[in-house]
Amino acid sequence: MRTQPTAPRDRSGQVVLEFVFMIAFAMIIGAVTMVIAFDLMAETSERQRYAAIQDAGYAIQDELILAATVDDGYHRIIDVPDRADRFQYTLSTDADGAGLSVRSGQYALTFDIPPILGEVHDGATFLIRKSGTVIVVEVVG
Amino acid sequence: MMRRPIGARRAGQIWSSDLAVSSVIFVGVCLLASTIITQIVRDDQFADVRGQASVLAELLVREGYPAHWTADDIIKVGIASEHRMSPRKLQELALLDNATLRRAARVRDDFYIYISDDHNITIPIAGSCGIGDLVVASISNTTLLDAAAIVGPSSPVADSVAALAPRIPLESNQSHEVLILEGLVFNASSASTAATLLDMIARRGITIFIIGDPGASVLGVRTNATPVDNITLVGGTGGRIVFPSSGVVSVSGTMDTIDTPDAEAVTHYSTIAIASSGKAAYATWLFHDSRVWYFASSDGILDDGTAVIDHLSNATRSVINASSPSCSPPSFPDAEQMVLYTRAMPYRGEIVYVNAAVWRSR
Repeated sequence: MRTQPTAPRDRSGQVVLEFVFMIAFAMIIGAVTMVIAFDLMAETSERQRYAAIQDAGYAIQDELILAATVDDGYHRIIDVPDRADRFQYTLSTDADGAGLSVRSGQYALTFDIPPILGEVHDGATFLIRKSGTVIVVEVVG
Repeated sequence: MMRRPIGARRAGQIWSSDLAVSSVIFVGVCLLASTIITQIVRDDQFADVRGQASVLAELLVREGYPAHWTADDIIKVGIASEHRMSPRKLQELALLDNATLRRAARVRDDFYIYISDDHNITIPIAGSCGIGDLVVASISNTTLLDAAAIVGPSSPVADSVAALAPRIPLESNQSHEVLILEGLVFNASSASTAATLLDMIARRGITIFIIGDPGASVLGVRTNATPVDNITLVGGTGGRIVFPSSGVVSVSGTMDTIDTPDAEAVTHYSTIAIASSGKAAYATWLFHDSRVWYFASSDGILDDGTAVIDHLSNATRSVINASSPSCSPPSFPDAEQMVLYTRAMPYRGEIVYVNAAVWRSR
């Protein structure tokens, strides 16, 4: 931008104006960068949430499968965390005990599991196999 | 702030070298920040894809859950059985819908599973070159089964079970995925030997077709005056005899209890042969890791004069002996991240490679 050779007061004002423009431009660039970064991070975060609750579901599924494939007398206390990675989730067991639902945010995943007696909760959980059935008991206290 | 002397002429302080340098630094920092963020995200995605491929490959070389899973009850995928690759499980794998397969295989992104041998030749799975998200050309004139050994009275092998057992070279005969046993090779006095033989075959995951007259075969012993109605299935409990002519499914009588945990009920039937002068039926069940198909007939004659038993025998042979498909190596898409894991496992007396590829599309 060319400046007009006018009075010093005018030139001083123009310098301030150009400075403001440049700062504004810089802020816009910064804001756009922030928005893109935020969007990218949000998408990644949601992807991580999905992966995290899926991994949590599979980990519980593996424990139940292990309990179902060994002999009677097997028992084990597992600690089901209340968060998967940094994401909070809720657990619920189907009425027939053959499905496990994991919900977090917009996601609700269902996992097939061996038939169990009881419900899987977060926190310390006692698994026992008795008479061919996997019994799940929440450990209180 | 320093002020210029009044009247001093200086064009646009905004274009000073200070500003130029600071602008370059600012833009540089922005670019650097975005590059770092993008790289972090990309690394995270790659780790995720790699983890999925690793898990998939590890799952595949195990038995899965249930140990003798079928397409109806699978929870966790696995194609091994007794430490070998199971052709039956491969066939069941091909029957799974995409959602079930993804859930059982624990995969979120696109994936493809294929089997190759030592020479990097792809071994077909159930008439396809692989399973997953790659579109492969359909292969015509193929069946689920690649090879068959036919053992019957007219074959060069035995005419009785007692002689048959040692003469079937099981270890060297593992290129066969299917064994057709014509019931007449058995006789009623060889029940235990037949059961032992079947047990040996079934543990190898070989699909077994038994074709015979239930009145003559130990695999379908007639237990009352009515042929077919009550037979004993080796290794089966809860089996069903299906009459294609009427569609009636009746529970068979006493079941043998040689080894029963793999038995399953037949819940559907398809017409195999109908003869006005006799009955034809089939039963199928799982025995160890093998699926056993038992076709039985009681001397029925078809319109063309063919005995039902011969019709079944010929039909089975013609289906099984269809040519095998040939596959070219898979062509993977241009993905942003892709990982291919390979695991070796025994099959047909050789080593084959189970390849599990996972990728994230751009």
